[in-house]
Amino acid sequence: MTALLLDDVRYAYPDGHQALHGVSLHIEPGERVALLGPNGAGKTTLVLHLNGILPVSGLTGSSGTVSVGDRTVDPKDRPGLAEIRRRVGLVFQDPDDQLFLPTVAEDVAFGPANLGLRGAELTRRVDEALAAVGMSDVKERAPHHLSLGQRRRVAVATVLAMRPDLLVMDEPSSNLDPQARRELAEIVLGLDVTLLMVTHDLPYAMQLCPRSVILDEGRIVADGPTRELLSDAELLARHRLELPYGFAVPATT
Amino acid sequence: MGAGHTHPMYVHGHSPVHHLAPEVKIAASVLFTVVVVATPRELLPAFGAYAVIVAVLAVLARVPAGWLARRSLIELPFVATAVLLPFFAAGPRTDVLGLSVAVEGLWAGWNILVKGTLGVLIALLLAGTTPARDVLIGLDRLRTPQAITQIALFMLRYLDVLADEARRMRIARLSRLDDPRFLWQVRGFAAGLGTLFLRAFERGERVFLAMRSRGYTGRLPAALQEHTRATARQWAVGAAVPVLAVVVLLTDRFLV
Repeated sequence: MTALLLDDVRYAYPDGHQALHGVSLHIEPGERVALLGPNGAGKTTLVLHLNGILPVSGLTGSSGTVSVGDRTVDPKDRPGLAEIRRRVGLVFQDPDDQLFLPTVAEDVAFGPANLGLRGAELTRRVDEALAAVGMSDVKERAPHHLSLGQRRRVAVATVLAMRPDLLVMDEPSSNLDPQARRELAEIVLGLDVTLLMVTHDLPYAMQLCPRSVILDEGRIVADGPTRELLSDAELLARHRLELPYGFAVPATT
Repeated sequence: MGAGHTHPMYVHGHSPVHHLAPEVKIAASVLFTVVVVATPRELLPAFGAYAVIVAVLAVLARVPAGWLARRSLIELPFVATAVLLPFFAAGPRTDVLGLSVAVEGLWAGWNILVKGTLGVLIALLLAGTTPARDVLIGLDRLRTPQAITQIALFMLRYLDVLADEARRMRIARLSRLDDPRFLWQVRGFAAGLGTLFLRAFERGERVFLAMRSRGYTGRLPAALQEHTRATARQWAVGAAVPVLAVVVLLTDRFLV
């Protein structure tokens, strides 16, 4: 059984810039994997491939296949894409990009309503998703009035409401204060989903993901247990990754 | 509801008017205004009756008279025109309070004044009892093109976000001793506007990506706001307002 399978995914932007140079990755159901890499490594481009936003149908410059569960992403197959987007829940880095409706409840309902849910069932999905991130009491509030930590938790709820098989989070810990960061980690650890977390917050990767892959210049350059990768200072340095000053992960013996 | 601080027009409350579905209120206000505008200006009693209808609505909605008065100041430019007309119009003249004014101008001024005021008051009652976002939902259900209602919806959500960004950029500029008080110093301000536009544009792209990731195909799902949809009874109640106005108009026109 496979949750996510990338096979030799290559992608060049219309301006000719080659962002992905053949990425292959295999994630089992229930795994939590960190995708590490410096800025400009192609992380976001890769993430947009996971639910078929990229490649755009009809443009050249892309090859390889992305499969989610038993389905392969095909940019020309619209109903297929809808199912892929239900299975893969993308949480974007800036919650203000994700939360676009005037109230939290409406925003959480947006995804499942697009799936065709309505009435009591829709309400139940919303309540369930907000409860999972501990945000039930802000249901009728405007996103603009929440703190960044709260907004990010609501953003997670907006994709949980679609009951995804694979949760993909882009830089979930960025700009959070330490407490909000820890609370988000506890919520993520409590969820029963397969997780791919894009980050360069290495301690966060260590806390949440037993396995990590390093992406640099559009290629996967390392794949292994997070602790093992983070204890290899030379590997990290080669790909512009660093632990915070004064911290080190002792090598496993 | 709405984007927090930015619903200056809404008077919070739980009156029967507040609870009426937005599409009913919009349709009723528009039809009422049409009837008012269609009334010949000489039918003075009809305008009195319209004013009574508006007053009854305001009482039902528990919208304070002071609030209505303050908000209707927006009408002032039109009032100024209306007041000037009697003095400048041509034609036969008459004496009012010792001033010589044109009869035709007097009627024209009255026409603008009374129709404008009634229109503004009914619009204010609509805005005062309906949060901005519900107005949009109502417009959507009345088949307003989604391109328009969606743009307005985004404005509602992102106006605060943009204003925040503009504020931060301004503080950052001031912190570096920018002091755009003279014309030749507005360069920083203008560049800031350009940056803000670019940021808004890029944010728009990211928002769109995030929406597509959750299955957006061009229409907002109607299921989002199903619970406030108008019932037949609400339509009947809302229809009472324009119907009453039509009855007033016809009675006044043909019976009196």
